Amino acid sequence: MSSMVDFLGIEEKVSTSVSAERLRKLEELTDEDVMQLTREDCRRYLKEKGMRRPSWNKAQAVQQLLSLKSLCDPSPASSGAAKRSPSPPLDEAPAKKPMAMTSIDLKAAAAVDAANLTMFYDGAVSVFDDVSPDKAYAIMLLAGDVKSWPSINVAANTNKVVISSSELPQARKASLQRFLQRRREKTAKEAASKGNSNKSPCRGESSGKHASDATDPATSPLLTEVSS
Amino acid sequence: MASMKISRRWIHADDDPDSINSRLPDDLLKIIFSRLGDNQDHASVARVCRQWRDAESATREKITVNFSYAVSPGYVIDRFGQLRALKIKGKPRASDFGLIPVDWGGYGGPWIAALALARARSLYGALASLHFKRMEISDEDLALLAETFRDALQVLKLEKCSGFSSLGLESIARSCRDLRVLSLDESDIEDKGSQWLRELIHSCASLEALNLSMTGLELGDIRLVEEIVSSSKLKSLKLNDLEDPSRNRRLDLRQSSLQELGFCGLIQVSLPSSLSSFSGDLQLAMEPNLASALTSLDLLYTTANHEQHLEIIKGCRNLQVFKARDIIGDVGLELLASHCKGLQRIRIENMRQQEQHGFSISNSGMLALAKSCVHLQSFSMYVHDAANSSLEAFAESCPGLLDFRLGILETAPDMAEPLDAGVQSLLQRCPSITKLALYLKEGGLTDRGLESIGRLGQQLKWILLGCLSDSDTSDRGLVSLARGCSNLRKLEVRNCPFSDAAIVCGIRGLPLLRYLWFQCYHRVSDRHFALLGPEWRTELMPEFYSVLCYRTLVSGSRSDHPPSVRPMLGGGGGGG
Repeated sequence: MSSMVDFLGIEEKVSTSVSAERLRKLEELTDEDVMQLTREDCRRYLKEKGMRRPSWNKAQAVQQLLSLKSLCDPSPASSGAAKRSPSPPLDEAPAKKPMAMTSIDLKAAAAVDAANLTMFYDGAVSVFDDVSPDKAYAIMLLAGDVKSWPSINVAANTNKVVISSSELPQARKASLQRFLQRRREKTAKEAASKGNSNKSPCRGESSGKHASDATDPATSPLLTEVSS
Repeated sequence: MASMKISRRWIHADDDPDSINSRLPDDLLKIIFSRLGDNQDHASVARVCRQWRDAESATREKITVNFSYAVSPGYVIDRFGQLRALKIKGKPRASDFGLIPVDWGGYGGPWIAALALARARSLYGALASLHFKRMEISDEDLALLAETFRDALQVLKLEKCSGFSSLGLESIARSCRDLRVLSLDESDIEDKGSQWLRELIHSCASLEALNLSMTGLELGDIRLVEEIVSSSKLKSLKLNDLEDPSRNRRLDLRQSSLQELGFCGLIQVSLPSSLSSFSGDLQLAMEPNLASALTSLDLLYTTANHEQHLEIIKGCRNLQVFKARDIIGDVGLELLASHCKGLQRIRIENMRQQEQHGFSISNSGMLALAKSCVHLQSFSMYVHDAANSSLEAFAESCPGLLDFRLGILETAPDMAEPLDAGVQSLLQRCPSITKLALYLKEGGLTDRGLESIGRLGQQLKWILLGCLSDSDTSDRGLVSLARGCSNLRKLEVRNCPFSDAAIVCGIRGLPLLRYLWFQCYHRVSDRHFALLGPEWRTELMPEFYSVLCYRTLVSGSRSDHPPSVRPMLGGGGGGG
């Protein structure tokens, strides 16, 4: 009988279900192979890996299996696979109805540096280290009902690639930008031609840096359109 | 009627002799449905059964297609045959800020072609008003439009559109002689001469409103303006830059019946007494009578300095709509608040990169506004600092708020406190807010704040979140927001630490969501978006570091996208 541990790909344990002889191991299949599977085979793999209710829709079942496969693939990011050892009582309590649980109760450990995932299943607790937020959510997506999540608190985003505010100058409405730029040029031209210091209401910057804002993931789409 | 038995078997309504449908003739259904005001009610009614849907479709007079790729032109035209007005929106709103590839799409051509076909079959006879927003329209499209509608067209608005020139406008001017409203507001138009305008003045005697503001068109001579105004029934005239090389002509509009006027340029103007709305370049305070008669003032594009702004504001008493840049400062905002207690809509922009005037709006300015302008409905402001006190003041004093957009300047100092409590108060006490934008900085909002938006934001239809930091917010916050905002239609997210998996979860949990745009992802996976299902399309724009997801009735991905837009794997797409 498969266990939650297999579902996460943490353990090397191979499913002991009857169909194992007929089906190759999921790990041996390539993505292309998966896409060629029949719907029933997809569902069988998914159930074997612990999925409660795989989709009846073939295309969706294929997608779910691909997602599951990516979770099981050993890679640096999915270091969950690397830590196989400390897996508490879960494997001892499998004999009951396989996926009769009605909700997954997920709570993250409060560890400061690690991104842990704690799962409660069938009265037992498992803690998995270094599960990235993406993996955690992929797991939860596959498990089913969004509404059944109590509190999700995957600590410490280990992949901090989000652009910080300082690199992200605010966007300006393009039309307003063009107007002010045009006016700056005009007042500069007038000042130059007249020769006297025409006190213009706005002193602008000398460089047209705003031109690069278009492709700069910088400018903030904000607030305009007070009109209907 | 009172004795009518309503059948419980709705799905067999057509068969059941006791059902309401066999008692009410179609014509009566149509009369009833034509009394429905809200488009939401129309949509609900249309879901009951086929008969009701057909009756309702025949009574719909105005349709807005919120996203042109959500539905095919054929579908709209086949279903709603009695339209009087059609509005279609194309590009994502982010394109106003240069955040969408220029050639992204949103072509008006297919829509105009479909309308032409319908009219050639003598359908769509009632359609008189067309409004395209953020769409690509060519001169050929406009020629076809002119040819198709001719004198039937009364209202044409090409707002924030591009792809056409003044030659296309010439064909409109020549054929559509009954035009009452022509608006080209903020469209990017190639200027090939002002012949089109002469044609317009000559042909369209019924013109009541002409809006050319922020277009690429040069009108040249102010004499042309005088001609427009004197020869027509214009009530609203908004122009672009006006030039007067001689610098000593005075544009005399005192005899006109203009209610709305807008222009830029250093021109001396004598304003009409009928004026209630002004936008553009104002250097001096208006005459006191004129100033106090104004209900709408837009100083976004003025060259006035700070002191001049104050002088202008001092004269105003009855403003309901006010727009300006933050050069007015707290002083200006306080002045406005004390003079114009009837203010309903305010927008303050900031252009730090283009002008450095040293003024800004702070929390105390916002407090003054909140306490004084209790009729505020629409608030949109870039500020230097914001604290919970001002949001709580809005919550307490302005229960009529519909639209609340707050932006903190990135040059501002660190936020003293997160705005969780203020946002919560706002949503609790202003039940009519349907649009909310919080563009903050690090420390501006925490997961608790996001959770309270979810908990209290059942009425929200549009949300923009920007620059939330990963030390206070996380996927958890987004998911709890998505769990609660059951009415959300559009979501825009920029520079926030949410993973694509959480965003997909959010989308799946929101029953009415039809559109999502987010920028600054750290990783996107096709497989996550595949879980959205076949009615969603996802487009990745790697150069812009952004993703666009939208619901559509059209199957397959669109064929008119440029190389910079990459459609992602669909949900129900491959493998039957």
